[in-house]
Amino acid sequence: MLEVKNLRKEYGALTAVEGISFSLQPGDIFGFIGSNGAGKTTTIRMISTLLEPTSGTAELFGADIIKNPMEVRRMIGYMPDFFGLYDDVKVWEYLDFFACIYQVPSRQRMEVIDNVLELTDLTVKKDSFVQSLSRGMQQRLCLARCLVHDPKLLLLDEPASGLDPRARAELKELIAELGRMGKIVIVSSHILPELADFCNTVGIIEKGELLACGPVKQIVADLQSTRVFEAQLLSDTDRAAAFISAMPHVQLAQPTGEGAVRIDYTGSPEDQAVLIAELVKSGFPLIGFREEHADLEDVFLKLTTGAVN
Amino acid sequence: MEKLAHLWRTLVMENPMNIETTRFRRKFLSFSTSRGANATVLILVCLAYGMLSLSIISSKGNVSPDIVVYLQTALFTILAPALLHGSIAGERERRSWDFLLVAPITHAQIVVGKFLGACAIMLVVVLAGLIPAAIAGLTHDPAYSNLGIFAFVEMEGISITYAMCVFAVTLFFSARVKRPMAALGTVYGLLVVTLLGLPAVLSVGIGSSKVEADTLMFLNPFIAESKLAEPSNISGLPAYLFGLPHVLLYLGLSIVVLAWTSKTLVFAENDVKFLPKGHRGASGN
Repeated sequence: MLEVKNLRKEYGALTAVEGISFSLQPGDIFGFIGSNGAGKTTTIRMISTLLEPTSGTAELFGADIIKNPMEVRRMIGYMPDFFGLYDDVKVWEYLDFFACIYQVPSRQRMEVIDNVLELTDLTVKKDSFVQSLSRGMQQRLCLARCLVHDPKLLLLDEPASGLDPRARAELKELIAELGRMGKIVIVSSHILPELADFCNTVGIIEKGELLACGPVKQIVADLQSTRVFEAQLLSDTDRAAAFISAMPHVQLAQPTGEGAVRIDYTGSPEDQAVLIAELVKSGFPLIGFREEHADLEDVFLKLTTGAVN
Repeated sequence: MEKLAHLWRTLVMENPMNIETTRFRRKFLSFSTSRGANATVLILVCLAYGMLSLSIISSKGNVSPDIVVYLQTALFTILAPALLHGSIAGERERRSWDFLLVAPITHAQIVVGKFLGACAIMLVVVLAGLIPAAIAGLTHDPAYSNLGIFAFVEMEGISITYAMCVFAVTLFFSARVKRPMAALGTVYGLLVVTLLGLPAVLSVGIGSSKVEADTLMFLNPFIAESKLAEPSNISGLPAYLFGLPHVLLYLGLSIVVLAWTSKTLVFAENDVKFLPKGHRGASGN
């Protein structure tokens, strides 16, 4: 497992990351959300041993990033936000180079290369020169490079930036597959719908401070003190809003102006059933009743102010 | 002694970065490389090599083997900086540098791996040069040149260790500057200044006796090689100062510069250092 303990990074008077702590289990896909300059990349670079923390540490399966960086490096695959590839080699030669650096035994190297190429859907490009690949393919090749030594933790910094929708969808599916393979995956992004689709845990960071961390559903639920419903009626929305306001557990009921009433509700599902029954019994022409779920974007906007370091 | 053996094992024998040798071979010694410039240079070198061999064969004994060593040293002077100027600055510019730094290898292993990759290319050049040198040695007229085998080996030693020294210096500047072309320019400039410019300037101030001239030009491999090829030229510094002392000097310099280079690779410092003023401290986000 990965345990990040009070990780902090200062550059002179500037505090880029302010004592971040969280822990992840194998199979977790952690979405690291924050505006540009929030501290995502600095945190990822500290975990990847590229930057030395000012204080705090992180442990990956018992190996400390400060005391035992070599051991940690054997277990991580790191994909930076901006990267370049050696453009004068073929795809398999590129992977062979890194497999050798990660000390994959020479007898297994070609098999490993074939496997990661298959996983990243690049088998047909095995003998192509790296520079001939499209941006999406280069992104996948970089991910393949991260996988040649079978890492336990993948640190992917903005992996989908600059990709077209199809390449983005393919990358999402690939990351989800890596999670299913039992790897811990940390994905940073500021494109929220992208993360909400496949991350089971998220952390929201602003000005170097972790504002919320946990399963997506839990974070959303924690932030919502009330449930929000929308009752759709054929007519009489003003009268219905007044009627609903008088019902128990209703904090606020307002017509939306589109033949619906928006209800802020604190009651249980049983109370909710009673509310619907009373509306119908009172003769209101109810044609729909649905709960509005907050999404990651709502949570992010509610928690953050948009400030950067 | 144990520490030296450990260094030898981790930096040379079991260094994962030795794969650089393969990458250099594919990059510089392959006609099917994706870079037209590399293939063109390779073709030109092969043509020059073929012409050299043919001219030695057709010279009917008029060419001494030392010519091959001079040419080889000149080739190293031109090509050694070109081989390695982008090895670190280029990685940084291309943003592939992080991939090496997060790998389970030390900075010293990275530096030595790149150095050995270039040395492998140098070895190919030296081995290729032995063929025309052998032809010249077997066919040359003793009346024209009387180069002994020991002097030839010493000349080769000077040429090889000089190339190693240039490799090390190029790596150092590649690690210290931001752009590969800046590293290339700096190394060529340094070579011109050290081998020609500085001795010329100093000779004006110090004087121009034979001893002083030899001392000022001591680092110049061509001068050292010429002293070995033509012992009659030695009239300044004593003969025993040319040959092995140069080999040891160049080797020592290479080791010191390589060690210094690996000390400059502390990434976080480099990362901040190369950012423009006013942006320091904001790296990485």
